[in-house]
Amino acid sequence: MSAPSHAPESAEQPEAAAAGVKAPGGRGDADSRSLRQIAWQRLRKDKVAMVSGVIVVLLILAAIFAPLLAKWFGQPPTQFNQDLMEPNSGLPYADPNNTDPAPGEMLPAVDNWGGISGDHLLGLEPKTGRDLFSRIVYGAQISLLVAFLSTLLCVALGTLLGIIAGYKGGWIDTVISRAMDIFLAFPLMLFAIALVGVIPSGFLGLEGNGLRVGVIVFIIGFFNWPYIARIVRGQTLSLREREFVEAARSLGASNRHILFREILPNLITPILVYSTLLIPTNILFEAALSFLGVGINPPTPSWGKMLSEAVDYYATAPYFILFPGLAIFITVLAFNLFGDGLRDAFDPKTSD
Amino acid sequence: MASTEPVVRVDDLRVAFPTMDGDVQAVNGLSFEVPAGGALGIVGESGSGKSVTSLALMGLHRGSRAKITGAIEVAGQNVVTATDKQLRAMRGNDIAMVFQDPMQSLHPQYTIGNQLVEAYRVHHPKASKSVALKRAVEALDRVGIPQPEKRINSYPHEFSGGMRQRVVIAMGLMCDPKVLLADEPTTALDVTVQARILDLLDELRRDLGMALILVSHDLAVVAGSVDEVVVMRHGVAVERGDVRTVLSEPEHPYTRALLAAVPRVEVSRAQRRAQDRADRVEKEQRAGTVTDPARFEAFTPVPTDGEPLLQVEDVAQRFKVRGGAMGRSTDFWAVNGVSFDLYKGETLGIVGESGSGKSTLSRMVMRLLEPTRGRVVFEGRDITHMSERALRPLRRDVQMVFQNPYSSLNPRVTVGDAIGTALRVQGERDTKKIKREVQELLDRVGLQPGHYNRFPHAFSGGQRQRIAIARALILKPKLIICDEPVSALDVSTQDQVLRLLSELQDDFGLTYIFVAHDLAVVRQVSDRVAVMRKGEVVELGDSDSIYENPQSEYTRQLLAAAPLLDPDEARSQRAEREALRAQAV
Repeated sequence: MSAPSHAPESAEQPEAAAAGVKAPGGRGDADSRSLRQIAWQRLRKDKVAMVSGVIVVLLILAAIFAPLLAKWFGQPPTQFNQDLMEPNSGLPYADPNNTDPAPGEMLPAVDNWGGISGDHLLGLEPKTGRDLFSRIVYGAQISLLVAFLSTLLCVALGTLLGIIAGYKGGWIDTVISRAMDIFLAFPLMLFAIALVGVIPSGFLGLEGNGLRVGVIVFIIGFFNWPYIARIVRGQTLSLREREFVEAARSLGASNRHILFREILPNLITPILVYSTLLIPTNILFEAALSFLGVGINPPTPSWGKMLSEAVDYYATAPYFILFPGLAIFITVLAFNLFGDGLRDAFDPKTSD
Repeated sequence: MASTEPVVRVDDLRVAFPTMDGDVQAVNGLSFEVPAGGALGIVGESGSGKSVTSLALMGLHRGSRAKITGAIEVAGQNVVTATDKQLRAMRGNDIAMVFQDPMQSLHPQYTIGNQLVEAYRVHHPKASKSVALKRAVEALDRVGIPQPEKRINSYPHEFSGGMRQRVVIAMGLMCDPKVLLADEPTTALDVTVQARILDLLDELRRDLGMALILVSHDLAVVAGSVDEVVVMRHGVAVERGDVRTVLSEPEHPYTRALLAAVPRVEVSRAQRRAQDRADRVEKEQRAGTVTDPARFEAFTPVPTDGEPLLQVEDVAQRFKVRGGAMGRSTDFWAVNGVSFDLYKGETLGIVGESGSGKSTLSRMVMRLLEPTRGRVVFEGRDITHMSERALRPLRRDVQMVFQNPYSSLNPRVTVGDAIGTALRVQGERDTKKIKREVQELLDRVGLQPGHYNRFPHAFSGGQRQRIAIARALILKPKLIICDEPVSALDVSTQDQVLRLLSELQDDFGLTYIFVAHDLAVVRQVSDRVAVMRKGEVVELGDSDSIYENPQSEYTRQLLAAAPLLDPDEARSQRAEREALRAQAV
């Protein structure tokens, strides 16, 4: 019956890595990497996510530098080029210098490619002859602006209410959760259409497209926050049971400290990931509203509006429907794929 | 070894998993054989590759990215090269597996009868349902489920953890396998239940002539149940041989270290403390920093020495449990009528099985829960119903070390911040001072000051528990409540953390409440011990007398169930248990 003698000192070296079956190689830098650094390294290996990430960045840059791009590669988005357009069909002339009908023809020849040329990279808008490239680039401005602002509003509202509901529980949770159900039950699209018509110009000192953007952002943000709030609430419910929260309480930490210093840092990843997935939904929503004519007012270019105008020309000028459609498609897909990639990179369960 | 032809043969097994940082060699050249009807124990700490090995035996790495080389033969079937169909025919029929967590290895939506019949008919498609049902009842009876004809129609949630593990074992028996592979079959269970399951496995092996492979992190669990043992480390078998030889004359230094680290229930608090102090003095002399043994505070504090630090009087905690009749909630008393005094410098051990209320009790003392009834008095101040705000200054004096070092540290907060939070919360604003103090403390608990800016995931379980201890220490508390501080750790790490706690008690004159389910650990660290069961204290007294002369029946049961390291003693204890059970019937 002897007392246990000396324990194996080598069994736990100070630099021992966390995971039990960690490879001996590459261990040194695994130690000091933060979760975000690990996620970044994983993201870098995810080709799809990286390509879509680059596209997202390019789109944002394009939106910011739309005036420059329009200046270099086109012309202002509202400048008419009716001299280039054949007035009857509304399509660009095949040869603007020769606008007479060919012998035996009733009308002058029109360009089957929509007037794509060195001056107009994506061709010309039917009827007005405005430069399609600069309209699409400017359209990105509106799309992304609305999407980002409304997502920001969703995240702010959703995080705050979700974290409070999850942490406080009890009747507060009940009230917030029922509110979420009610908000999600609202027919959002109808509500938006109604509200756009009802709010008078000059409301809150906003008018024109400023007001329209404000209303759309408000509607999307105010009715979509429950999606974020639900996720945040669920995460908070499980986080608050974790021992580190009890540990903080036993150190005498206040509720505010626990909510914002202990729990919130653990929520940033799901919020970030969900936001990147919410952005494309909001882009589509703005496009839909503009398509229905309650979004952005002309002449400011907007992808949705361009689509709705293109519908009239789908038989004669398919390119006109193609480019704004592609712009929406690529943007939404890039954000979605990038969001998926982010989620995989941050999720420890999809370990490689 | 009875038979000549081995029923399981593993030769130079290697399993590698490709990862981002290159291949991880989980098993690296493992060989062993199990004769028909024999019993092999595979022992190793977490990450040693023992579970990977058992999955490989079942051919369960198929379809994953694991790279397997070497030979595995089960009942004459080469598992590595077998077709999927051959593998399916082998699984359950030749070799059956019992998993660690009986809460998860049974399907919650089917009755156990359904699942047992299924297990049989997979391999005997022509068998009629009634035949299969009859076998299922037999198997349940075999594993000691009372009234098997009735219980066969129950769902898994209607069974306790131990009973569920019996059902899982019964499922394994349905096709009379030649080998039963049990991967940590008792780790999720209480001591008394663990003893019964191990007894059952041993009995089945003897009666049915099955070979048994018992995988565990705990040498004491396998000691009484196997003939041969393989000790694994980093995917390699460091030692392999007869269980008596390996445990009594271990050859490899790792086995020796592992054995030394296993807490033994027969070692008393005084012996352990003396040994720890002697080891410390010796170690410090080697390091050149001599500590005077006389500096350690008196061995056992005198309980009558003035006012108790903490008085707990008749506390009780009630939880409302939903799901009564008509949706009404019923009361559940997690702790009921517990009283004790705690004096400065002593350690009170609280031991009990899961659900005994020991964690609830410690949270009430910590005032993370407000007692429903009774009083908690700390240094003469009644803190029972104090508000969170009024408690804040008192939080300095009572701190807690939590069970799970993986969940008690915020994964998004650096180690330095996690420890420094305590100072910040208590009003310290000088960031340089905070950093200095944290770094000193990191050094004190055996980590490096340079670890300040790292995140918790970069540390092993033992290191995390050191961080948690540092966090508890930084406010210089008088009382530390340790809630199962070592139960999530490997034996060798566990031993180091226990040593650290003991050193800190010497250095800072700390008072501990030490909550654990492991009887041996509790004895070695506690001056006094309270045995809890179903929310009540069954026995409270000084640790040596409780362990050597237990007064209550329950304490005796607990002690009889504690796994022993000596294979022969473990076997004779098992015989005693079986005799007792036979008497009871």
